[in-house]
Amino acid sequence: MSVLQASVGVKGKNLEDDVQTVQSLLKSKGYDPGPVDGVCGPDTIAAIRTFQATFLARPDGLIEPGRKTWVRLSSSGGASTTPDLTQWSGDSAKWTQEKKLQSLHPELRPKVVAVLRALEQRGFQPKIYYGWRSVAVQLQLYFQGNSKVKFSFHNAQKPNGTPNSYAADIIDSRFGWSPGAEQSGFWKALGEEAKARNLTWGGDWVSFRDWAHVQLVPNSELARVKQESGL
Amino acid sequence: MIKTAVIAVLVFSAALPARAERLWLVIGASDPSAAALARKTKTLALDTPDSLVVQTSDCGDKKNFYAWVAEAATSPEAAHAALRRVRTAARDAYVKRCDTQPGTLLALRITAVDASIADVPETAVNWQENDRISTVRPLPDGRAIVIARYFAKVKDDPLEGRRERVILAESSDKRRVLEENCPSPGRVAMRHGRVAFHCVREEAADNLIHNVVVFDTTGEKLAEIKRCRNPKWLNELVIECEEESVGPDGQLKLRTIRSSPLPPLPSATSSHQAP
Ligand SMILES: [Zn+2]
Repeated sequence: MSVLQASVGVKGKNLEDDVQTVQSLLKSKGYDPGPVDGVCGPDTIAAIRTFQATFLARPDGLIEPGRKTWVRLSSSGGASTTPDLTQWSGDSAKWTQEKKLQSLHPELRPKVVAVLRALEQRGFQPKIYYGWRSVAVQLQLYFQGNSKVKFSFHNAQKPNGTPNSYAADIIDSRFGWSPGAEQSGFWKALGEEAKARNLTWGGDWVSFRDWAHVQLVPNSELARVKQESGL
Repeated sequence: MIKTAVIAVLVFSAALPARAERLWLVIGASDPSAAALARKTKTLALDTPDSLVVQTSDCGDKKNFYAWVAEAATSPEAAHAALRRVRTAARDAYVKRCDTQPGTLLALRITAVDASIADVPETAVNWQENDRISTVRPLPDGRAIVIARYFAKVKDDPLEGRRERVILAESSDKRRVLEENCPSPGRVAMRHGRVAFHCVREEAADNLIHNVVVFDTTGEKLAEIKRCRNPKWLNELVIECEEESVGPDGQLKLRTIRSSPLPPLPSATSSHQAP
């Protein structure tokens, strides 16, 4: 268990040892505070804020001993209880189909397998584009203006950090999201097969279509899923 | 060129006031946070049809907070008469003198925080402070585009009811809704009073996909171009935008396309078209 003597971050005391501790913990969780040099510069503060954004509505860039950010940052620091998360690193859109399936919630997995089989039988060439993706990737998308949400059902995880996605994006490997997907009837077929298995389909969202997206539970359960994820 | 400018000024002389207008705001509640103010005002049981939320930066104040204004009076006497009524429900109500900055929501008498915002569930995951606050973008011809952000109570909504209404505002009493729901409206391109901008409509891999919407100078919708972003006017009849396509690799490809010709401008305004 790491120890913090005083506050670190925006208007913090920023003692060199404390800053180093925070920097290495942020690094171990996949954030980029810059070099572990004990100096609390803009990169370290940005990394603190990004980390806080996963559980605070208003990140303030400050870590204080005993307070929420420190408790979160220093928890799961004991290597013996931490699962090996390195196998879940990298661009999750580029994982193998098998690994994408493994990243799904155990109740979603058999349903997605059944949807894929049914679509194949209908002459399509379906594949999973996204199963799980990390909150860090999601936040990056959000701040770049490439996503409307900071937390999505794709980001669901077990409290120990292993993937547990409540959603999958399924495309036809010939078309992706190009007009061919609609013209060939792929989206319509995906919607039918998903809903036949009680999944929510993003193609039904009139205000904001997400054609490839299928989801285990309705949107109203987002807060519960986020909480269940320990986020 | 000069002639065009002169006529443009004449045509739009009835638009937004260019100078500060002095108002006396009857304030019933205030808070630095839009979310908190929306909740506070919900508990004020007052029958005030003209109430609105004002951000005090619209009065030129350096330090901004949100104020629930029961009445924006044009004289101190009217304000104090209103204050007596408001104090029956809000004991701390007071009057603030305000030199309204031109081109602000207050100048247009549009609320900065829609009343529906008070109903955003406390458990909402993806609502940020910015999603609760309306904004205004002045247009070069003196009119303005207002992005009115509000909450739509829709069950199982993918955006948790986050909505953005786009309004073309000419003055405090002349406005027209262009789009009832346009998530993340893009930069407004304008030519001879006609306006075009994009709205987010779909998601594809790591990309947001847009439609370009085009309106006549009156606010009448002329066209909606699917899967296109960043509209530019080539001339007053043709729009250029970047067509969006996402293949199986998830990569976004953009290709510049031109719209089919729009209907010609009404003859009254075509007399001052650029050569
Ligand atoms: Zn999805």
